[in-house]
Amino acid sequence: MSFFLVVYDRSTGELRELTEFSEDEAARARRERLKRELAEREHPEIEVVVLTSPSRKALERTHARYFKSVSELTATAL
Amino acid sequence: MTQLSNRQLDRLGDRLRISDPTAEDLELLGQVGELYAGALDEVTRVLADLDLEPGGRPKTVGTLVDKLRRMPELPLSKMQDIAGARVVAEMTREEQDRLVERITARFDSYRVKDRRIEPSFGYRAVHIIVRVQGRPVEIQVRTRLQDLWAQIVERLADAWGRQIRYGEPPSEPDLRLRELTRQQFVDGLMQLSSAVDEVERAKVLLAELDRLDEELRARGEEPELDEEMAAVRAQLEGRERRLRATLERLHGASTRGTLAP
Repeated sequence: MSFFLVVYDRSTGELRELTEFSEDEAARARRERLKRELAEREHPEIEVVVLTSPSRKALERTHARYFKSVSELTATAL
Repeated sequence: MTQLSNRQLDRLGDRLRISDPTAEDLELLGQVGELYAGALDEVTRVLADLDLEPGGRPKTVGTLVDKLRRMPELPLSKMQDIAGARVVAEMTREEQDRLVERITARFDSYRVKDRRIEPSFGYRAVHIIVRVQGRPVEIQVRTRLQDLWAQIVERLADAWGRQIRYGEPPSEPDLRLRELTRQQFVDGLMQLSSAVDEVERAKVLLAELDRLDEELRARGEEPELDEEMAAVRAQLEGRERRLRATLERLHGASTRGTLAP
């Protein structure tokens, strides 16, 4: 499993940052998340989260909203 | 790290209901995340062991505060989805049922919430709340179409307000995106949810008839189910056409740039 630190702007749908951490670095990923969350405290539109996934590709499937616009999402089923 | 008591958790929850998190609250929320991290990691490992490709996440500060304010009676220590994992697969509802059985067989303590039978404002999936290391973790099991619907709503909720997830109108409901207003788009999403449900249920019915047909033939009987099967196939085709038409309408209105997200 890998850990992905995601910094996402909800107001624009922009994925600002995606950093991958190895399984051994899980605690570091979570510390980094807290640091970023504190830094973005005045910006509630910025979402900071650590997601767990076997790969980026799998993550793009289970958490597609960080990666695809509504138009791209609907297109996947057409 | 000091272990947070349930009482401390609930006090933190009460504070977050009425005011924005302070730096100290965010530190405490970091500790809350740590409390659930071990349980979440164990759950994602079990799911990976089943040859699944799960995604896992702790609730973000925003969604946690949102839920606390939406559910003022819910103590933070009792919240079931602070940590969650998700599995998405191309599968029928019967396969979804079997996958849920495979997952629950790996846990001693669990509860299943079938949101296909009791959808939440159009949201459909099966949720399993397992208890691991003394903490609840919610596992969402979704078919590809159930997930597609949920991802679209989540994405829109970011820009049009999270209230759309609970049946409330979007912000600026009359704002037009090509041929649809935001409100019409949200209404279209509810139609999409029903269309997905209808297609998935028709597939279940067809599979049941197929099985019955095979069983009867194996016993040397003439099933005489051709008419029923043809009717269900025609029904399924009609429902698939409606689903596609709804998707095309939403896709046409959502060209990047016209919808903020």
